[in-house]
Amino acid sequence: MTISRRQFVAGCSTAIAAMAGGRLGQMVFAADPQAEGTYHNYLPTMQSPEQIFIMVFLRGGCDALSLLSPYDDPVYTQKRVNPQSSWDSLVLKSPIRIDPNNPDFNPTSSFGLHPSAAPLHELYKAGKMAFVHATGLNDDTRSHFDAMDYIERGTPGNKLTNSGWLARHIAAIGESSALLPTVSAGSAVPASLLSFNDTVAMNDLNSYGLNAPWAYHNKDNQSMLATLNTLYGSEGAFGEAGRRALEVVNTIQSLKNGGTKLDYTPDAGITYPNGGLSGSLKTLAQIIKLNLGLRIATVDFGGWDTHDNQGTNGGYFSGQVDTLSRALHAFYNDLPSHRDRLNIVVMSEFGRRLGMNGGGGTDHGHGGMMMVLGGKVNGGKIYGRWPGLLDLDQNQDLRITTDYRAVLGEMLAYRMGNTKLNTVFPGLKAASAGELGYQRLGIVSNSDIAVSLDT
Amino acid sequence: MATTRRSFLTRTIAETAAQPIAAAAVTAALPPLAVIVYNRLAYGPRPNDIAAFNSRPGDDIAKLTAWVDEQLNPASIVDAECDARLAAARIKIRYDADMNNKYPAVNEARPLQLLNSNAADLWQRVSNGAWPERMRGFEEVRVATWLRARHSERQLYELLVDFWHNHFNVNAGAEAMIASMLPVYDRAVIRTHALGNFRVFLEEVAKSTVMMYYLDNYNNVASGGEGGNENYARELFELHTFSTDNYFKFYDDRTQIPKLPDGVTPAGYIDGDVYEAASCLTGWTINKTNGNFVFDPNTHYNGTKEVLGRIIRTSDVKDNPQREAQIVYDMLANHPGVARNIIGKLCRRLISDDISAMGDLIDEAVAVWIAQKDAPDQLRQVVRVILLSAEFRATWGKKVKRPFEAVMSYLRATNAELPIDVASLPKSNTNPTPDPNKGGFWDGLFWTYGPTGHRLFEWPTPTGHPDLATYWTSTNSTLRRWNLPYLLTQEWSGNVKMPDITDWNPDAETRTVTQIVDAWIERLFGYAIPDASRQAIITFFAAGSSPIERPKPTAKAPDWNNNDGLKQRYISMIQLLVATPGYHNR
Repeated sequence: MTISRRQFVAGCSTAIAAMAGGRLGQMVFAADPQAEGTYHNYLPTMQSPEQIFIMVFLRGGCDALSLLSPYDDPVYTQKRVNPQSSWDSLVLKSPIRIDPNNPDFNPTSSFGLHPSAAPLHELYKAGKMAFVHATGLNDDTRSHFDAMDYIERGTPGNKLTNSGWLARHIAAIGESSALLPTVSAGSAVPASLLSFNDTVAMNDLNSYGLNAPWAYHNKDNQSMLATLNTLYGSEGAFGEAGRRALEVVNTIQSLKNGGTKLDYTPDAGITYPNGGLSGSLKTLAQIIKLNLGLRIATVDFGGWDTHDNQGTNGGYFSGQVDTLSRALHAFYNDLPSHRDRLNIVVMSEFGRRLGMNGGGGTDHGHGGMMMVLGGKVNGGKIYGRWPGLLDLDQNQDLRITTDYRAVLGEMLAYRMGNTKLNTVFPGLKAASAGELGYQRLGIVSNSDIAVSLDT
Repeated sequence: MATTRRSFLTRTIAETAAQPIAAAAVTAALPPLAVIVYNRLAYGPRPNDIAAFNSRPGDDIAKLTAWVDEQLNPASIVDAECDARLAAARIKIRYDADMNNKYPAVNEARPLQLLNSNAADLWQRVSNGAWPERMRGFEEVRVATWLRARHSERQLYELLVDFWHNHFNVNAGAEAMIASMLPVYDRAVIRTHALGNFRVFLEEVAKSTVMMYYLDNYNNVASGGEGGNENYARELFELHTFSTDNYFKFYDDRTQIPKLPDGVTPAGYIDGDVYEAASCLTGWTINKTNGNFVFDPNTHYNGTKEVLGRIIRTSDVKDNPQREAQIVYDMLANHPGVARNIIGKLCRRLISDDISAMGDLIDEAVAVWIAQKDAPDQLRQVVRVILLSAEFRATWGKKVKRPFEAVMSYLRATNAELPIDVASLPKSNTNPTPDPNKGGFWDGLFWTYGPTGHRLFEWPTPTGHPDLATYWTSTNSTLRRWNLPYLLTQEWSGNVKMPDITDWNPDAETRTVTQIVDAWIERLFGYAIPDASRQAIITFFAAGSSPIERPKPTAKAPDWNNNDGLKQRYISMIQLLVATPGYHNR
């Protein structure tokens, strides 16, 4: 069992408990003002059985045809070079050939991972990572911002929906009372969590605290925090965010007061690559290891909008894939005792155009790929159905044969305890001939359980 | 009542979907008009701004009209104080000598030298010199923007410049070309046209070096069947002009595209328009020897295009194929859907997150936009209509301050002194040896401020910073707002000086605790704050003594009968006032 906010508050000093208690309702305060040590002692003893869902969003439209490539398809090899251009070919060189291990995938060519994705190949071979190809958003838009809105609000075609799909999921299953159940690893909250104001946006745990003059903000005098607690008792645009921030500030302050060091060191032998993606994943690894009750987290990794000099072979794109692959590999291996709880989904707003443009890059396309990583994933397999490159969407882009909501829906039903898929994704129907929708892919499941869909 | 966490959890989707898009602050009583003006048309009131506004002749509408007309002619406003601050500014620059002796080591506190440079001069910096020299253009624009927001009398102009920088966003962090060339973009494009003509503005943005590199049109070249590079053309339609509210995706039969009431003009754009406009824009690029715009006919795709229902043939503009894209700009700038989109964004910036409540204002402003489409001050006239509307005067608390606005309003209200860098500082109080690692106060300021997420000229995507409360009311943003008043005064994170606060002398103080708090409420807010908040802060500042007496140090902890402790309490009290939710309303 994980530590709840209430239990935590009971284990720390009265002064801090009073501050954190604004929204926690009735509770019993520990009377002993020396009790920080108590909390410190009992913190690491509990193991949460709860599943952790992490959405890694590749912002900008990742070129799936370079990441998991039909590298010897004659249409691909013809469209990904431009004999009139001086730019490097975008035909993937030295692919890591992989077997889809899935007769239903119906490949029309060989498939290979980008050579910089060797760390992902290792996870694939180990059966912990699955790919879904020719998947995405069932809408014609070629706009980044609309596509992201549709995907993250969970309502294709409607970007005015005022809540995100993860926010509706949390509303449906009820909010965890743990300290940090919902985290956006960054300075803001993505649209998938829109309307769920208890999300904590943070870059890192260590710096998440109040900075103020020492005399009125220290272990023995918390009167500034106490006053803030009063100020954020009322309504207003910042009311909820402020109260939630105060809970976390108080908690982290107490951990530090109790002697916990919050600068993060990964497990021995684990090396994350440099950059913001690793920073976000390290923050999440730390929260998971501290047993602060993480259930849902979002991570952004941008820079995939490769219109210009894409650099599939040894250039810019290779660097992006290298960073992504090493960061995911490090994160998974940094959490050896939590792997069976991890459910990491990686996706982008769309794939890119099949044809290379005149600038050595690719423009906005349609079908893309998703990845699922976790200890309970039926990995080592490419899910979905390959549509081939002869019959293209709008005569230019990879078709979509699997609705992205099918992948997320399966995660919801089988790993996140929520079968009300039509609540999370209003209007989601079962896939039928010629129409995209929900279908059980088997990425994390071996048996059918009933889910609620629209008809 | 605002939505609480619990009540949200029990709502159905339909109910949540019915909420206004912007869950901004609860409706509050209207503060004085001067407060509205200085919080929404300026970066917050300085101590004398409210009184000066109120001393103008006539009623509120007369005062506002005079103020707006003055502000919309920024060149007529003397700005000597700001000019002096810009002249006195120093930003530390430090780097080691090049290994191949191409340049020597540098460590100096250098004035702003690039703001008036031309493109050719800045272009020389793009690929020469140490990395900090390549970033220098961006650094100078950023510091100048902070100084102008803090000191310029041309506040509305500064606010509109910020609006257009976001509307035509580029990311100086993306590549050296953009960072180096930013001063030209800021001065000759954004500042020159912010109150000008949109059609002219649009084309100048397109030709600017920074936009050329940010959205890749410099590399939009005809080459075989796949077309050039659509990145800029896509955002030209989606972000610079129409928005996806006017995006109709794919139509095989263009006659089926919805039309304007004239029955002829397409109501919006389709993907085909993006592709064909990209084709018109092939050959629009940058002269690699001087960084200036050039049209290269050799990389232009010659052929027939169809954009927004109009056939554009290279053969029709034979002498000047550059004209093809200009025809596209003509159509875009004069399209009512474009006018409506940009006017909506202006109303969201200047009045309320919820622009569905603007009555006829948007229609009126669109009419001005269209009627004045050739006027050199078209945008000035459009903005004037928006600001003199009843909606502007009657709206408060429908927006929150973004982090820059929050910090700047605090700096202005407190007469804060932004830093002036030095090349080095003594290693410590006891060791006078110069430490070249110190003295970069601006660097420390931006390092501390950056995690707010509101990073001027560094927003990564071409959307510009979001302008809705829902984005800016996260836990992270809220916490950073609480911390910045303290952190920015630290030597390592800004070294901002606040003599109005730190020079307070408790022994010379004659006012009571309550009177002091009320004076700061008047200065920071200009209107009454909720009594519960006021009482909480009075209680804090009294620290156990009587609020109707002068403040005094506590006998034991934390003050130990010492004024230093009391002064820390005074500073903390002001930090708490700025941390109240209401301070972040606009």
